[in-house]
Amino acid sequence: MNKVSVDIEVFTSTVCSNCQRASRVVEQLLEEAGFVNVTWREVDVVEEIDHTVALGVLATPAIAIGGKLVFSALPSKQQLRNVIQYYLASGGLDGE
Amino acid sequence: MNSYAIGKVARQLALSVDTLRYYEKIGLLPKVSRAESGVRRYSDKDISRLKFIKRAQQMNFTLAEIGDLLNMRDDPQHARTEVRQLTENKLNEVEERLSELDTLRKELILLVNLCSASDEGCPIIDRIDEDENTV
Repeated sequence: MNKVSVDIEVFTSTVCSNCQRASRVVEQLLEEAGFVNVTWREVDVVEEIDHTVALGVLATPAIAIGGKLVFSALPSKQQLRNVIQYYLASGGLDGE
Repeated sequence: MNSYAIGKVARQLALSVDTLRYYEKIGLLPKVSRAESGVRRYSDKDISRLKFIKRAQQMNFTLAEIGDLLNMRDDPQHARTEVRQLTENKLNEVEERLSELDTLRKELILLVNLCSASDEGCPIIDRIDEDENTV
């Protein structure tokens, strides 16, 4: 049984035009793909600026997976799917 | 060999003439050479030493600590154990300060990026308001 869980964070701000799209891409992918143990949340970079900076996020939108910054711009659904699948298969992004 | 008048050195390093004389008086700076007329002439080595003193002061090191660090700087191989330890401690302080500055730098980059992406509000202002409200 696959016990790996994946936390996705979408870093957004109220002034970024692509942020809503980034959230939608994540939301739609998770609905379509039916991944197990994959959760996501939106992070308002101004509200959580310490956490944002600690992960190296310098612009929005950005996406972190498993506490690591993976996308510094809006990814395609396929790119995101590939990373999540890799994460689930390997148990993390370490050693990439 | 280049040499510079005290006024020029003071302007270049943004230090007062009195401060330069004081550093020499307390031994942070070795006796500065003099022209035939008797006026001080600072060498490149003196200026390098003064820059070090200034940087260390900006890190809030005491003049006594700076004196020890300068001894280490002059002759690192023969530095006393206490001076080596002090230097290591100060190195750690500098590393911590750099880390804090790096975090601040990233935070500012993020805020500037957010501002330049915004046609309406500016998150820098929101952030400042937020900080003021929490103090």
